[in-house]
Order: sequence, then C-alpha cells, then structure tokens
Amino acid sequence: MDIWFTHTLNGLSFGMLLFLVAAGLSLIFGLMRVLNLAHGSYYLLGAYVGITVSRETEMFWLGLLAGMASICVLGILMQKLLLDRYMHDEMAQILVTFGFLFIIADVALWIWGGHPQSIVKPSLFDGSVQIGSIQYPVYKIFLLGLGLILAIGMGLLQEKTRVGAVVRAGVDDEEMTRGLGINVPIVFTAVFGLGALLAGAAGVLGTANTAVGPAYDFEILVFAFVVVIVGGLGSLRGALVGAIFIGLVDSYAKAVIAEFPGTLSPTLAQVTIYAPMAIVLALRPNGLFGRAS
Amino acid sequence: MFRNTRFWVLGVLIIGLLSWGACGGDDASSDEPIRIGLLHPHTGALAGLGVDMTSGYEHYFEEEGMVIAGRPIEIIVEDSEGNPSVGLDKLKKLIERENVDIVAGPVSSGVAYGIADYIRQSEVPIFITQATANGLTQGDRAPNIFRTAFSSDQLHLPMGEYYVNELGYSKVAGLALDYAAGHEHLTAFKNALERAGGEMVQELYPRLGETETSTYITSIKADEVDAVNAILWGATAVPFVNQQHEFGLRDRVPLTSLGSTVEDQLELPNQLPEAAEGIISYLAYCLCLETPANNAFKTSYEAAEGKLPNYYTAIAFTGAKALGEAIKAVDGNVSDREAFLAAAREVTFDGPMGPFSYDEYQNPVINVYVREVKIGADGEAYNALVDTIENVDQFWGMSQAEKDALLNPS
Repeated sequence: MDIWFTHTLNGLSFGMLLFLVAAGLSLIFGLMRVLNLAHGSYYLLGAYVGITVSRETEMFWLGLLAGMASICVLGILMQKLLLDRYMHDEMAQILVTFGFLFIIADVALWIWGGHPQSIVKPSLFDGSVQIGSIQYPVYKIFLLGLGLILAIGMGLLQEKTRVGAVVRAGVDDEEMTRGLGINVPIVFTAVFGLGALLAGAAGVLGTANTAVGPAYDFEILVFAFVVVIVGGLGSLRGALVGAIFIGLVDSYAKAVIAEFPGTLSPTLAQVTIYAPMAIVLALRPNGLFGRAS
Repeated sequence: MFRNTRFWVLGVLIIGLLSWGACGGDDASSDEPIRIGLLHPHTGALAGLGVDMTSGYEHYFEEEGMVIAGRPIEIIVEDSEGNPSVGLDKLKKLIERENVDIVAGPVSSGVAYGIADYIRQSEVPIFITQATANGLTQGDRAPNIFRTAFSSDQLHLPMGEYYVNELGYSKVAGLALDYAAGHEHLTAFKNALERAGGEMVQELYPRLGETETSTYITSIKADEVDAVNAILWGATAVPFVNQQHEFGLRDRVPLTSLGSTVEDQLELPNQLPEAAEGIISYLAYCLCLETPANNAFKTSYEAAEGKLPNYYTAIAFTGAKALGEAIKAVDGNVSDREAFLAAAREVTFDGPMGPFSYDEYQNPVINVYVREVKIGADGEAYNALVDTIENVDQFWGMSQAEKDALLNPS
C-alpha cells in the first residue's frame, strides 16, 4: 500500500509541473485562439537560463527569477512584435510559433551544447521527509504545494478580480469585450507574458528535479497538449484537473507495467497518456471543462 | 562595355565555369584527398554525444596535420539526427553525391540497423564509431563493415561473473532504456548474470529520454535483490542518480551501473556528489587511466579544445586512429578495396582506451574497466579505477552454440 501512496505522490507532483506549463498554454489559446507551439521552448529556454544564472551566482532562487523574467520578456516580445500582426490569422500564428520552436531549439543547442544538464536545488530541499509510513523527497512536496498555491491563486485571480473578469470576458466574447471599451490588446500581451513566465518557471523548477537537454521542448509540449486537450482549451480548472489526471495516469501506468514485466510490454508506458486523451476526445471533444469555440 | 553589369556577371560566370572544369577530373594522384563521410547526430536527443564524437574524431586527423600517408584528409560531416530514415538519406548523400571513399559512424543503433542493408550493397568501407547494434558484426556482418567501439553485449559479458564472484551480487534488478540498444544491453547483462549462476529478478524499462524516473525507483524491489544495475544514458542518466538519492534508494540496496550513467565530464558534473559517490560502474574507458596513450590524448585534446576529453571524444578518437592506421598500412591507396580491407583488419595499437585489435568479425577486442565514483580533494566526484578485465570480445563467455546462433540467425 505504501508503494501506491508513493506512486500517487509522484503522479501528483509531476502533474503540478504539467499544470504550470499547461495553464499558460490553455489560457493563451482560450483568449487569443493562438496555439503557441513554442510553449515547450519556453520551458527549455527558461531551464537553461536558470541553469546558467544559478551556476554563476550559486543561488537557485536567482536562477528561478531569471528564468521567469527572461521568458516573460521573450513571450511579450514575441506576442507584441510578431503574433499581434497576424491577429485572427490562426494559420500564420501557428506557423510563426512553430518556427520559433526550431529557432529556440537551435540557439539553445548552440549556446548550451547537447549534453543534458541539471540545476542544483537549494539545500533546503535536500533529502526526504516522513509522511505517514513512507519517506518522500522534500522537493517534490514543495512542487506539489507550490502548484496547488498557484492554482488557487490563479483561480482567485480569474474569478474574484476585475482583471480576471476582463480575461474571462475576452475568452468568452472578444468583440463584445472590445465594444465595452476594454483595451483587449494589453490584456492579450499580459496573459501571453504570464503564460510564458509560468512555462519558464516550470522549466527551472522541473529541471531541478530532473534534467534538461535537446528535444525536451518537444517532450514537455506533447505532455502539455495532452493535458490541455483533456482539460479543455481556455479553462484554468481544466488545466489543473487535466494535469493531475495525466500525471497520475502516467505514474500508475508505469507502476502497473513494472509489476507485470512478462505480460505487459514496457513500451505501453509510452502511450498510456494518449488513451485518456482519445477517450475524452471521443466523448467530450472540447475537453472536460472546455467550451465550444 | 566595362560599365555594363551584365558583361561582368557573364564574364565572372564564364571564368568560374572554366576553372571549375579545369580542376576536378578523376586522377587518383597522391594529392587527391581521401574523403571520409562522418555520420553523427548533431541535433536531437543524441546531439551531445554526436558533437563530442565528431570533435574527438576530427582531433585525431588534426593531430596528424590532416594528412595520412601523404594524402590529405577531407572529413564531410552529416547530421543523422539520431533518426534511422534521416540517417539513411544522409548516408546516401555521402556515398552517391559526395563520393566519399570511407564512411564513419553512426552513433545510434537505430540508424545503424537502418543503414545496414544499404551499406552492405554499396560495399563502401564503414567504421562504426559507436552504434553498438549487435547484428552489424554478427548476423548482419559484411566484409566492409567494421566497428571500432563495442557491441551492445560486449561490456556486460564479463560482468555476470564479476557481479556474482567479486561483488557478491547474485540477485540484481536491472534498468535500461526502452529501445533497441537498451534491450540488447540489459538482455546481455541478464544472460551473463545467469551464466554465472545469478538471477535478474526485475527488469525495468523507462523510455528513451525519460527524465522522471521516480516511479521506476519506487518500483524497485529493494528487499528482494542484492544490487541494482542502471544501464542508462542520454537524458535519463543524470536525473536517475539524483532522484534515487532523494528517495534514499541506496539506504536499502547498493547501486551499480554502466559507466554511461555516471561518466566523468558528462553526467557527474550534473549529479550531486553524494548521490553518485560509491557507485560501481563499468565501461570500456576511464578518464583516470594513467597510460601513456591516454595521458597524451588528454593533454593534446585539452590543448586544442580548452577542456578535458570525455568518453565520447576518446572512443571517437580511437575509431579515427583505427582508420588512420589502416590508411597508413596501405600507403594511402584506399582505392584497392580488397587490400585496404585486409590491411584494416590487421590494425592494432594502444589507444586512450587501452589495447585495440579486431576479432575475426571486425569487432574490437577491448578492456572493460570497473570503476568506483569517489570524491576528490576539491569536492568534485570522479571515477577511480578499481579493476581491469582484459581481452573482452563480443562473444566472451558464450558457448559455441550461443555464438553460432548469433552469427547465423535463422
């Protein structure tokens, strides 16, 4: 039973990381109808910036701050200078972000090289802590907690504040919102920047737990897409539920397959996250909490 | 007339065409360069390996002044992206359009299996720099296919006995990556362990590129095994060692690995020293080797590139030297293919990785080094040499029946 509790915590902490990445992706689509294919690149670049800054300053938190800030700026620049030009031209926006996916990947390879790298966590998070009858890594608990706090915070922001109301209005009906005199372009830029910032933060936080290297931008992007499809585009709640769900499915599937080595091929673990996605698409094409566009 | 742009453009074009026609032409004079096509992954998940290997490969020829046996050497590098279909396309480009005399590479076993048929048919000599795919020097072998690294099985073959007799580990839980090479490696270790009277109690296969290994660590049956063997590389190696430390795995069971999981200059700098300290690993190389050849290599590479070499640069350098020695043996005449292949088979030398020679199937006979991660005075982790197992070939310890089955699969 202990093992399954550990597997659950593994799934939840991974899910929280996915939430950070998927939330930005989902909101950006919900508001601007832009599917930002460079979102995984934000994770990758944020991670690399975090690695360099935290190595130079020997402070993890500065690395995290640098990762968040740099990607926020990059996101805002991309949105203002490029994506804004192609407002309402979804095909062009997809192509532009797709192009950036490759550009960022190559630049990262050029600057940081091809070998996977990691970030040293603050010693505050070293080791494990006793939870019930198991020993569980402190850092993963931190990720879990942080994700929850962010989810609640963003939910409150969206539901209880004027800013949040403006974002929700923009998602629901952009024309009407403009008609009410609200400066929609600024809202767009702000949300894009926030989404990018979250992805950059996820990059640093995630890499402290794992590692980052070439091709990881594609990997995290695929996970984020699955979460957003399951949860529904444009929904914060969907991103949270979807992320937790996918994180748990991934963890449990790997664990179950490990329990039955002869009968279940390990390769199945690579595709288990797509099964729920396929089922959700078949039953609720807009995702669990999505709305018809 | 001289003010007319069109005149100048045409004039330059005509002069250019004339001079292009004048050079070229197919005289096999000794000034004609030997063209070596290098197929390595420079982008994608294997980018780190590929770039390092190209660097090590080129370093050998640069040390020789880009001239071997009087013939200049031209290296044409193509990016296989670690992708079998891309690798095949780039190989065809190297052979059919670039007209290379010799091919070197690839790194990925997927690419190696993908190009095997084509390379056999083309009969162009190929010196595989890293891809461990067993078949290429066994069931899929051909006179023009050489490997200068080792096969997937090779490093693990003597380790079954070593684990059981020297380390006292009879029951082992194994981890490897879920693709062709990973499966080959873990199966080889399992067979070697069983041959020595041990047992592979558990096999776990994270996917290639997996960085979240927590679930696999949690699934390890620590109470039922004497040790864990983590045969990992790529993006999985660094996080696995750090994550197992967080979970306190080694409080419950010793951790051993293939050298690639904890390699100097590559994984170790990204792993917490206390997470890696004490891990026993095995590989065909140890940066710590104090042989004349390795010391010379480390010095010369650091002088040229400003950083220490690593396992990938060392193994590529060895592969380049194996080719260089073959070219020297035929005095630069690589066009006489029969003679060149025959000379290549006889190449033997002492390189950074130790003694090098081929077995009769054109796969190397090498040393396997057992190392232990220690922490130096500067607080940095490094691999220290614990033991050397000599003369390991791709069939070490196998019965004749096993060997025959591999050489002649039905």
